Amino acid sequence: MSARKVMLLGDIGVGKSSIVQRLVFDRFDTTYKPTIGVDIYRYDVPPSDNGNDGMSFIVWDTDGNFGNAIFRHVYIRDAAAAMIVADLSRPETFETAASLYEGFKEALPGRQATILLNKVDLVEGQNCGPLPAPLDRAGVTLLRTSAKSGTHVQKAFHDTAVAIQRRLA
Amino acid sequence: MTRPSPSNAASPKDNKVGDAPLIVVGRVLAERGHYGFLWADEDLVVTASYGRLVGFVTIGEDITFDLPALVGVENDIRALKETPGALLEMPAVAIVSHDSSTPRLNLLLMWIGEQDSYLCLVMRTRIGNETEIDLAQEVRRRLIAEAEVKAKSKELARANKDLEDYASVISHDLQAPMRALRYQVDDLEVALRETASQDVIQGLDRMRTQASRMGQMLSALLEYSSIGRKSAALFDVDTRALVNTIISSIEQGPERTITVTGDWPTLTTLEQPLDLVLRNLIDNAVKHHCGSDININVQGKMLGEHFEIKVSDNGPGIAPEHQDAIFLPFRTLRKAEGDEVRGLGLAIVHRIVTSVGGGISILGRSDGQTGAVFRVLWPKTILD
Repeated sequence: MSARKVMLLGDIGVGKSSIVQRLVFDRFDTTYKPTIGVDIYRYDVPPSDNGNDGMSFIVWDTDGNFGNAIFRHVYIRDAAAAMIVADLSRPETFETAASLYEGFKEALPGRQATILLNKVDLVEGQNCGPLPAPLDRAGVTLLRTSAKSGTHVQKAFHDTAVAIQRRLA
Repeated sequence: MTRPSPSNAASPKDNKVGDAPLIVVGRVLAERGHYGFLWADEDLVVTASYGRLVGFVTIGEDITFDLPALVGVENDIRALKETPGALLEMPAVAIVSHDSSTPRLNLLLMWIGEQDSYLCLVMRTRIGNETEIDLAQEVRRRLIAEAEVKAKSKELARANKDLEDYASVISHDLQAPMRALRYQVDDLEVALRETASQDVIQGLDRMRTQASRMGQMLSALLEYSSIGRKSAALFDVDTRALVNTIISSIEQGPERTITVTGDWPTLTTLEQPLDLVLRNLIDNAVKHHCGSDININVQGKMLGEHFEIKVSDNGPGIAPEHQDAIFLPFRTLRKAEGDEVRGLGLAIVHRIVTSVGGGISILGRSDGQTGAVFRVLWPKTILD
């Protein structure tokens, strides 16, 4: 199974580490421990009948402090996809997500980028305000996730595996 | 501490180091877990390793198998062979698995032509000691906590505004049907005056009284919900003149004495809200007095950054268990008599005082008499 690099990007505290911990270990830690540097996880996407033959992901859980500087870093080299995370309970993180989305598309054209609007469990039934223009348009893949409950976390990565496979086909 | 023997140590004269001391140093650093060495062949398969730090790396596997941080840079590694002296650095990465995590590592790769191999030097990241990392994490935790508090405050402010708007709309819109109800009662009374029994007429009268009371409550609610939304212009206010004007507008008689004592400065402040506070406090003292000899004292005093206003009466006083509830809307400790008591006066006072950054409390009388003392701290300077 070929290994593909998937970047987890987003402002500090949006739940990047919680998402990957939910994906890989199926656990959620309520204690917030900021990532200093990069934590790397392996996750095997099982084959499915929706066009995914199985794929191994190397998930890069990055330090939220990098911001757009990450696109000039060796870390981003040859990433197959990015999960760009924003916090639904903090709409100001949408702007960072929009900037990272555009930065990723510019640095690695054609690669899959998915916006994860995380912490949906905190804002059930609330109006979270408008999305920034770069995110509020057709063609942007958006998923509302909850690392706490697991909502759409696995789907986000499995859909990404399918998108990568389609691009390589 | 053991001193190195001269034969193994660096020579201070020519500043050259022999192979043996270098090997010793490399071995000691690797054994102590400061560094680890990996060798990989041209196909990037690990052929040898040395040091505790790289004990997890499998010999015979691709270098990316145990060091997935190198996935995606395989071509960059191969290019090192073509550029003698070139380095590829992958800093500050930790590899997390079910069982364990590596320390945060710096990976430094180079081509060693003499050995026809790639060397990967693995080092513990020295981005800071444990205390510095803890500190950096704490700083971020606080940043996030502050951001979350800010977001919650924003949400709370929005919810409060919604509530105010709701109260305002409801109280405004209910006025019309309430008026219509009163008129209907009047019409019914006229129509039934000749034929209806005394019970029916009394029932209609009670309906009119309650409808009228409801109308007043709705007006009060509208007034209450508008506090803080009105434009807030500052004026130079002669507080003594203000309080005298208020007192002169309240009906006085032989059984009612209202005195003004203390210092009453001129303040640059919000005139109408201060007027409402004083008027409601004095009104409250008058309305809730059960006896026949009403004595009310209104005292002013500058107290640091605040103007202190005390309104004391010789009424029944307020029991400590009721002192919090008395500031809530439509709470009153006395059953309504007529239309006068609507239970919003003190709620309005409380809301105004807190909205300008002041405070209000209830004190007992210091002279041992019965009665209540309402103490307001009104800020000398009103901030935006």
